[in-house]
Amino acid sequence: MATPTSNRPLSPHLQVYKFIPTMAMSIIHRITGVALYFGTVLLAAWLVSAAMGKEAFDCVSWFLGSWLGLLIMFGYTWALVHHLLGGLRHFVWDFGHGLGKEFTTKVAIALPYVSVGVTVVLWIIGLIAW
Amino acid sequence: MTAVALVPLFIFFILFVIAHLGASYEAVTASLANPFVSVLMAMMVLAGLIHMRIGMQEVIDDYIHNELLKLSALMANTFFTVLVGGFCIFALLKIAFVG
Repeated sequence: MATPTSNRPLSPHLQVYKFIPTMAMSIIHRITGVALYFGTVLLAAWLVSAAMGKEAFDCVSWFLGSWLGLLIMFGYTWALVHHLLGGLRHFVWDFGHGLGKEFTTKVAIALPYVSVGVTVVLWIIGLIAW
Repeated sequence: MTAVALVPLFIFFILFVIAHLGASYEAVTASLANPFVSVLMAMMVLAGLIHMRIGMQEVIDDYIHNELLKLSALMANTFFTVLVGGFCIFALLKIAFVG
């Protein structure tokens, strides 16, 4: 006897899809977007501290310069770069170009390498400037 | 639309931050008081907040199906973005006009 739950039709859900690069990039685009959303608190804190005075500014600067602050800033930079590059891809798509299956997959595979690469280059420039 | 505006604005922002890493309070506030920097910063903040409010609304619509919870989340989304915007714009104006 077949179990009642076996051959029943399923509505498409996340776990029935094969995990593919374009899907991963779509998910990461959304996650980086949400991270950037909450990260704006840091931007507000930085601007408000600069408006409050030297003591508050030095306090926020100290935190951002600490290992935890640097880690957060590195993650924030990557999220920003990744989301920005992902957005550029959307501009191209909006004009009806580059929508083919092979091409989007290639771009999706390349994107994390490019975003990490750009982030590292920005930080090298930043650390030299610092 | 905001996405298009945010590309040059964020490139400007990244360059500004790199140029001011480790800079003193006086140097940073002096730069932020520059009209061009101040206006571009404000544009970045406004475009960014509009962009992220739309984006978060999309996420909420996709994942939250309980009506009350959805309504609360959508409201919280607006409150959060407006609050962050209020702080950022006030700070920029104070730095520019009062120092």
